[in-house]
Amino acid sequence: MTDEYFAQLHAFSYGIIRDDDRQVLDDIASPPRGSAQKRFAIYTDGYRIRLQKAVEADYPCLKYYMDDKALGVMIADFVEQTPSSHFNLDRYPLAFDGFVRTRLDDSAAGEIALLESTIASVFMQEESEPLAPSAFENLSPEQFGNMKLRARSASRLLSFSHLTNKYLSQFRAGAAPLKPEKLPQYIYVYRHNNEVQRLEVPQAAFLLLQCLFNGMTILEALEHITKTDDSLTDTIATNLQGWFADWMVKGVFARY
Amino acid sequence: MSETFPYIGFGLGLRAPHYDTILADRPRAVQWFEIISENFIEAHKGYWDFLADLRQDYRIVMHGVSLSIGGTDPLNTEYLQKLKALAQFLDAPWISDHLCFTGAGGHNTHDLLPIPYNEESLAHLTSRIHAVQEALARPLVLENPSSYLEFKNSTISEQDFLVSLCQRTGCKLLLDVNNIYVSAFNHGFDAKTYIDTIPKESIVQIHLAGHSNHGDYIIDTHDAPVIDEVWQLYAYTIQQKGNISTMVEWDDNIPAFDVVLVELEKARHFAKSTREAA
Repeated sequence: MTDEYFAQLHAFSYGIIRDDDRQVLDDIASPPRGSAQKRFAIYTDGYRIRLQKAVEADYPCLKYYMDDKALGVMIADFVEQTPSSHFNLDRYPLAFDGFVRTRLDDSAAGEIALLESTIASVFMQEESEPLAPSAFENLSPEQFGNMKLRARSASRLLSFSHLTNKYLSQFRAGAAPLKPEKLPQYIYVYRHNNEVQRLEVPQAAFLLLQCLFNGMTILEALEHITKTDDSLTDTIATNLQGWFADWMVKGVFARY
Repeated sequence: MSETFPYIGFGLGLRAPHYDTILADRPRAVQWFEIISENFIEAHKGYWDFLADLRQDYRIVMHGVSLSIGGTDPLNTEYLQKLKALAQFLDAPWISDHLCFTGAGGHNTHDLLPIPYNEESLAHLTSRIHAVQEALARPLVLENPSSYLEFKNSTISEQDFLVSLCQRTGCKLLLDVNNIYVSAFNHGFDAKTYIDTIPKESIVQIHLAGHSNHGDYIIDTHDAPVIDEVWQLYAYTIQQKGNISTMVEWDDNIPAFDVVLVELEKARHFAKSTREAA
């Protein structure tokens, strides 16, 4: 490859990304109709439209929450500041939720963006096999307490300060929800049977899953949570069995 | 590296809005499907299961948009490995991509950008095609792109450039008849001369699609039916080159599957009537 070829392609590519034709126009032959500038603009415009469409497609609920114009401006800014670096265009919108959180002083919008980004990300990942319910059969209390449980490979635990998941569910059901209520909400987003699941859990269950997914045994996790917040002891004692029964049916843990 | 490329008839681009209809109806009018490689090489197992299901009734060829064969960044070995794995999984008759580059300096524009056609770029692409073919363990099939500008330092016509690449590397061609029409309009060359230059034995597949005419230029949008002039150019291609596996692309404003089937039947009709008239 010659330096000239290298420089020419770099100038062309950066010209598109930066929407700047100054280093490019001298290289372009005069077209039979119109101008070289107009022809280059087909590429600069196409680049922006393509990336903006890709981002917008992954954040329909955020689009509903914000007005179209405000989101459009933010996506356009994101595209100007964030070149794509991967061949898979589906990966490009995943960084947009972080951009929203840095740009907007609106935690609900940030949470909606994070949830939609997480759903897209989890959807793209390969899921691991779920742990079969039989793994819990015939265990002594000690064996149960010493169990270590792993999260599914395509999964993420999220905690929100709004009822963000409820808001998203209402939106997806075709309702026209008002602003998300300001109440804490905890969700485990994971792929199971090739579909993205959003499991809402209470705070104590969220903390338990968090400890388990950080490598603690069940017993270690329970001790850690109750030591940190004694008020959760009763909730855990009352619900632990039911939680695990529900989680096993719903494929919350990965097979090991 | 030698490999035979079978004639597989008339196919369609496999697009998400049509998945359910195709799985339910298994239309016999479609003999094969072309997938966009990037939609599946990183997709989860559910999508591969879907392809495996479809593969029971149809051959599936792979068409990529990210190889960046003309690019200056190193070839993406991870991408090539994933392409090869999917091709093996599908027993794909061929893997195609475009004569273009997609970005530079690690950035991807997700577009098919034009390159200058000259001896330097010819040598560069020859080297990269050899490397790709070695990685994929099969000949590459390259599509003529639609383009909206030409470089002053191009010294070779696009069709001569493609012919030279075939001669130097053994790669084959996916002739996009709509792209020839679009580029001929945009740059003012003769479309039939372009087609005449390409040897029959180099052409593995034909693409047909709709486009958007903006007066001064045409953009290859794949969002409309194939226009009459492109059908005539397709008939001319079949007349000159004989039977070539043909497929219709429709990627934006995607209509109901029946509408796309009508386009495929038109292709079949034009090919048949052209052969009968010969």
